Amino acid sequence: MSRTAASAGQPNYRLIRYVLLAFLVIWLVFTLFPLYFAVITALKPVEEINRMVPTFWPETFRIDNFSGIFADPGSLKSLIDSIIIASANTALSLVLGTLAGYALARYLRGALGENLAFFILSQRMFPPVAILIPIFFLFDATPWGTDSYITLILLYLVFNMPLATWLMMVFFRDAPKELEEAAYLDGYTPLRAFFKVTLPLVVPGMISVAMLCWIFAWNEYLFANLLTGTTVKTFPVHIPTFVAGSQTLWNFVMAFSLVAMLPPVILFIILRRYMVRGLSLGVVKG
Amino acid sequence: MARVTLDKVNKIYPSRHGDVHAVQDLDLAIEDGEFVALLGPSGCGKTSTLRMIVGLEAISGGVIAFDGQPVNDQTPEQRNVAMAFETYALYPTFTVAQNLAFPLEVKGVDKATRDEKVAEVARLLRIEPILDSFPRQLSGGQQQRVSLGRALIRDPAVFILDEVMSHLDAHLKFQMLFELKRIHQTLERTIVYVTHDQMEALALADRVAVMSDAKLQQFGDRDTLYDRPANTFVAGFIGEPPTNFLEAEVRDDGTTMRLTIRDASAAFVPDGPRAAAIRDQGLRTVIVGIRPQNLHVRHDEGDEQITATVEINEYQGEHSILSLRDGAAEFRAMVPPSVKTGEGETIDLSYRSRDVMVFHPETEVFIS
Repeated sequence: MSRTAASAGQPNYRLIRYVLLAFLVIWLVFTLFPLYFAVITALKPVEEINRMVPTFWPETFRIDNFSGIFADPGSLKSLIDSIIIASANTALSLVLGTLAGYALARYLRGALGENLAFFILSQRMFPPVAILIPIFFLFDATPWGTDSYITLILLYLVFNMPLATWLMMVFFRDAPKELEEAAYLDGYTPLRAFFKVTLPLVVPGMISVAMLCWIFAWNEYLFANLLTGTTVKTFPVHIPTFVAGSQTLWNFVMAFSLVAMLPPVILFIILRRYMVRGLSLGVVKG
Repeated sequence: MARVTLDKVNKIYPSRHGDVHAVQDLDLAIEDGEFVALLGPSGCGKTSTLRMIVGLEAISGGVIAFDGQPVNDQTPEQRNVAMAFETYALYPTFTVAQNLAFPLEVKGVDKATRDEKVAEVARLLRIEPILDSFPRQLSGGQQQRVSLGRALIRDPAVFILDEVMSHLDAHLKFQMLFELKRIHQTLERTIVYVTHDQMEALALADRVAVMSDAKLQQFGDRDTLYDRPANTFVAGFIGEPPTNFLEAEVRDDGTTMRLTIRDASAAFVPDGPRAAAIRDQGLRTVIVGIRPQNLHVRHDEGDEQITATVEINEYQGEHSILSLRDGAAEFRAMVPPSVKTGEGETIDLSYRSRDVMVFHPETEVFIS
């Protein structure tokens, strides 16, 4: 009697927990299935990849696929190109975004600063496809043309710099102004106070901003495909080239994609402590 | 070291909703080696004043001078001021020793001298054991001492301390008040101490500048502030529990004057000079101020008496606070804890007629 009364009056926490776990499982199935399929496809031989009813576990394992993709010298070069472009762009975004973010946080408070900061962020919300053609002609007119490192390094600033500026502004607002004032009183110039006192405080934020910029530049396909492809070729552009006649070599495509996933994953694992701290800072205070 | 003078100093912050006048025509002369407290409730302009003295805030009007030399256009560094911040503002990436040495390092002092000075300041503030720690590893009291030390290590024209004790617990605060007083006596430097806590201000400072509503209300030593407050604000702000203010009508038969509390039976009898001052101004009503400490249960020769009903008898350890009522008038008295008079009972209280403060009914300015 007392048990029924209790179960009627109180929420059934165990049931709620099972329901929530069930949602989590469904979520995992959706997110992990593509990865699972990429892994098994990367390990299949060519004969097995195009069956009408796909196998969900390879009948024969072909580890050789991972060495096979590098038979094409373009594979390694595309990874190196991507690393060069992503890293150079990240460095530039960080330098410019940090300085601009600091200026916004310290010297442009009030309506003007707020509006300017939001205008900068809104650049990131702009649909890039809309300016694809003008961008092509713009870079075509430059001395280095479209198909060069500098093109993508500069172009990705359009997307990464607003984000870097906005996030760095939020981090700088959280950094106490008194520290700089104390440094002024102690005889530091504003520039020295910035580098010696304030900048070390936002390093976790800078690391998370760097990660976001780097991953964007690493993954970008649309502009890379349109603007470059001959002298410079990033890995997303290289992936569709694994074909033999009319046959797409899905096993090579998947193997190469998995290799290309490694650098950001490794970076994330190394830097995730800073990443989470940096991002949560921005989320709470932004 | 320096004399610091402020002459008609103003601070106006422009904003979208009209200008904010944070400091208005402030005149202040701080003597060389003097310990001065800027006291006032939050938002009264004391921090703006201090930031203008330091040079972190532009001066909207007036002149600030060190030893007679205007410093309006000088940078904080040129003014040579040292400041301890409310938030301590210790450099989090430096150790305590590095924090202390920082001002010297900036000036290019060599390492041997720096180490010597750090050791000296650490000894003065008793922070030797924590010199290699980082600020985040320290307690509030330790951080506060390090921040003080970073100011003390220099040889500035003036020390500015901004609410440095507001984050300390009562026990630690008491200890630091003592240390700060000792440091001032040893170093004999000009110190400007900003606080909203009257206890700190009165305990430390040679003279206290009381500010409210962007204006200086009174500048004087503790006896002046306590016995001759410039107006009801100062009288109410200085002293704990606050002064009782009662509206009273003047009943004067030419020889004795009685100040009858409005809508109550009690009347206060001012002493001779006070009665004369009221007569001079020809006032019909006044504001009577009497401190709770000056209402006694003990009756001495020559004391005047009033009777009131106890509403609350609040025991506070070393004394009790009685909340009293007489007709429509409410006031408080501080009595020994041995007084057990409870709710609803009447009590006779004595006061000396020279403890009765009289204020102008409209301007609230101290009359006598």
